[in-house]
Amino acid sequence: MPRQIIKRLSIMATVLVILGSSMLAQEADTSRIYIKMEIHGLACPYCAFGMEKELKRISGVENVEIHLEEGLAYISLPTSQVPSEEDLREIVTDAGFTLKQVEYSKEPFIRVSSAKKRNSKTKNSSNKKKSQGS
Amino acid sequence: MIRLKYIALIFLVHNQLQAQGPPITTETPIMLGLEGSAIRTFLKITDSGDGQLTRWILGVPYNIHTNFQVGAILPYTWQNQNGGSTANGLGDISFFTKAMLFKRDGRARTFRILATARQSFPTAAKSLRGADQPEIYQTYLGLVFGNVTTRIGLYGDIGYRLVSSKLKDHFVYNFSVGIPLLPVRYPQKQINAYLEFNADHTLNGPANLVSLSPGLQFIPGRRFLAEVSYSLPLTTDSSLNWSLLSGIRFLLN
Repeated sequence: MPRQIIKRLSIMATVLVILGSSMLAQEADTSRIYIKMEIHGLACPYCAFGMEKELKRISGVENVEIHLEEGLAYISLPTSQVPSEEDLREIVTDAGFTLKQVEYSKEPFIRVSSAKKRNSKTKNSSNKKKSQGS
Repeated sequence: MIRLKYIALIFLVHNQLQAQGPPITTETPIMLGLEGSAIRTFLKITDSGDGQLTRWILGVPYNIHTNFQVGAILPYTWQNQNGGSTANGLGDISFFTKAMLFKRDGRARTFRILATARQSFPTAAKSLRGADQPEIYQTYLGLVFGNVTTRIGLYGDIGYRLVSSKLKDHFVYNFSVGIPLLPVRYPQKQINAYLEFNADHTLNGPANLVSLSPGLQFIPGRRFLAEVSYSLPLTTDSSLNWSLLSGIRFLLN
């Protein structure tokens, strides 16, 4: 009997730990701001490296994602360290490029290239279905 | 001729063109941002009627401002002349600057014009320049321009080289077309193909050198690049048989 109680208690404790950690993780996600920048002039891979290098210097930025063809750069950082649009403009200009647009979000951005791929996949699958239907 | 046809074919048929790197024998108009620095080094073997000349060049550019770059070029030279005489040593050191004059950026494209100046000093040993030859100071003033997109890079530079000691000045121009052969992604793994046209006219002189230089460039990651280019003379009034350039570039910081 006491063994069963101990088992149940340990299961409950495990569940509580998992729930607690997931809640903490969610809290960590909501404490970040996601930034999408449209940067003009990124025409070569070395350009992207130059831009990435400068964006990584922003305090709080861990990852920089650059999509060359779309001219987009994505970063995320803690809400307490969010740079202003003017700060970002200066950083991009210093790197040798032109900042056209900035978007801030509490949620991660859907990547244009991956969305494009998904759209083309769904188009292909719907075309296949159509052709199978006909 | 067949080789040239193959090169032309690559440029014409390729329609899935993506991002490419800096040209090999033409100046690049892209200066990579504040405090950006790099190292370029290459070995150039030139075979001419006089013999064979091998030069190891080390170039170090540094951006002191977004729109202003300075740098130094250090050459080491090995000479093997047809008569059997050989010599080697440090060549003429030069310093250069590049300043942005015009920039128009678009999505995944840029058009830039730079002014450039280069000054070389006669640091080469007497054995390299010939005992009867004077010490030469050379001043180059020119423009660098380029329209670069992720699909194709069109580059050019044009300039005038003033030579001291009653020697004749030069009019120099280079043009380059570069296309990437692999799909774009960043961090990149890319192979770029280049076709470059190089000209060096000695004013009122006999030695006009016009050559065509196909080249390949391999970029395996963010910071490193390897390249090779082969030059064939298009004119018959120069003694150049061929030249081969093989080198690497590193991005620092």
